Amino acid sequence: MKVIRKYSDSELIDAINSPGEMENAIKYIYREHYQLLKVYVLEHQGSDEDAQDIFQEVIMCFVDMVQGNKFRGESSIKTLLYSLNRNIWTNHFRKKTRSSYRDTVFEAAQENITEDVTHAISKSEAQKEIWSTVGKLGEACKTILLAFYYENLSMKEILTKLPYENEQVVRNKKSKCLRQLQELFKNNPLIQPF
Amino acid sequence: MNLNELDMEMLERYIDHDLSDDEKSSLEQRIATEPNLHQELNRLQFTRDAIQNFGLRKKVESIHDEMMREMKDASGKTIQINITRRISWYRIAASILLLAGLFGLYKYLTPSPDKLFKDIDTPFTIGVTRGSNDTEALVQSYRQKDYSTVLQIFSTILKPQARDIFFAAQSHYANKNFNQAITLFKQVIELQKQHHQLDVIEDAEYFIAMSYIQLNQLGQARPFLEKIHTDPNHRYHDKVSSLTLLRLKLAH
Repeated sequence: MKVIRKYSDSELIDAINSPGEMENAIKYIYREHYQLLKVYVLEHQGSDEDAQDIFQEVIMCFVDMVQGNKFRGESSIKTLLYSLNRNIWTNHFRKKTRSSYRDTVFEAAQENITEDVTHAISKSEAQKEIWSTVGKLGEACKTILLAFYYENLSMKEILTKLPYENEQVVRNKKSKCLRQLQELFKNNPLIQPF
Repeated sequence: MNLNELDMEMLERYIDHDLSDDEKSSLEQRIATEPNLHQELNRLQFTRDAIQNFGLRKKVESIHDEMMREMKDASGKTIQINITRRISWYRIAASILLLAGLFGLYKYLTPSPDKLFKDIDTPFTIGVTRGSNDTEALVQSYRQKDYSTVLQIFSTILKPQARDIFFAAQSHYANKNFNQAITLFKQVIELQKQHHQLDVIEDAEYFIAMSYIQLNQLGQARPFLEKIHTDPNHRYHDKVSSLTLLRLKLAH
């Protein structure tokens, strides 16, 4: 029998800040909140696909707020997720449509938005351009940079996963890929601070 | 001015925490005085942060795909066990064993609705609110415990919002008009669900349960108390233990 643990709000925050626990914490958020947040998008002219996209953005914003100590527990996590979902969908919908009806429908949705939520959402918008640029790197470069900077693997550990001759070759490849990404950023006027 | 290869390498090793203390200190002194070095460091850190964020995005995408699959064929395959609740059931089992031998405990476990009410009663605390003049006057009267004025103002509001109804319900509750309170609290829940607001739903659920207890309709109170007990993040979760539910069941 599969046992899935439940988290209180404070346990969930600790888990999001702990690399080994974060995945289970995010899965818990899906199980607890996805259906309810999906209903909101569906009831406001969104599709199932929209609801899925918005929920992923909600998770990214939430993790960013927690890891940046921007969520201080003034509201429950449930309320925060709901607020993020509502406001991200509102922004998304505004971009998709341009009608006065839209403003009427979403007027209420913009109430009570906190500065931290606003910041998290606008940061999330900027991140999309950055993700798209990182996505332009070759697969080998993405793999090696993610292994080193996201998974925090050492050169020795990376060597066991990738077909390179020795650690120095891995190190050189990583440097080359890092500079290649910097060049891609430099050539994209939409990305700050390049 | 472009940096030379050695400087670029030093900066990369700096963000990778791969410099000796001496190298680090010397580089930091140069960064403080050489703007082009400082600018390049900012760019490198930005690039590293971008990779980390991209990694998180990929992780969330992969969890998302897994969860969508799980939810698609989740028809009873996964049994969620609330560990907290399981531990609580052990407590209940222990209580039942004791009940068999101890008449005094039996008396404790079969309280009158009054006793049960006192055990889980907690006052409603009002936070900061904003609204129209009518709403503010209504809230002000509520703060002053002038419940008849609250209800009078409420009766003049043409399109009451959830919060207006909530304070009217609280006023009925304070005046011990529990049937009217329940009716209005239920309207609050419906209205908040319709508008996807959550702020007073949990308060309304708790006070509906408390109203039913006061009316000695314990069976009606039970689903609300069970919901509060099951949700560890519910505002009144701490007030409703497994023992509370057991006592409610025995008293019913």
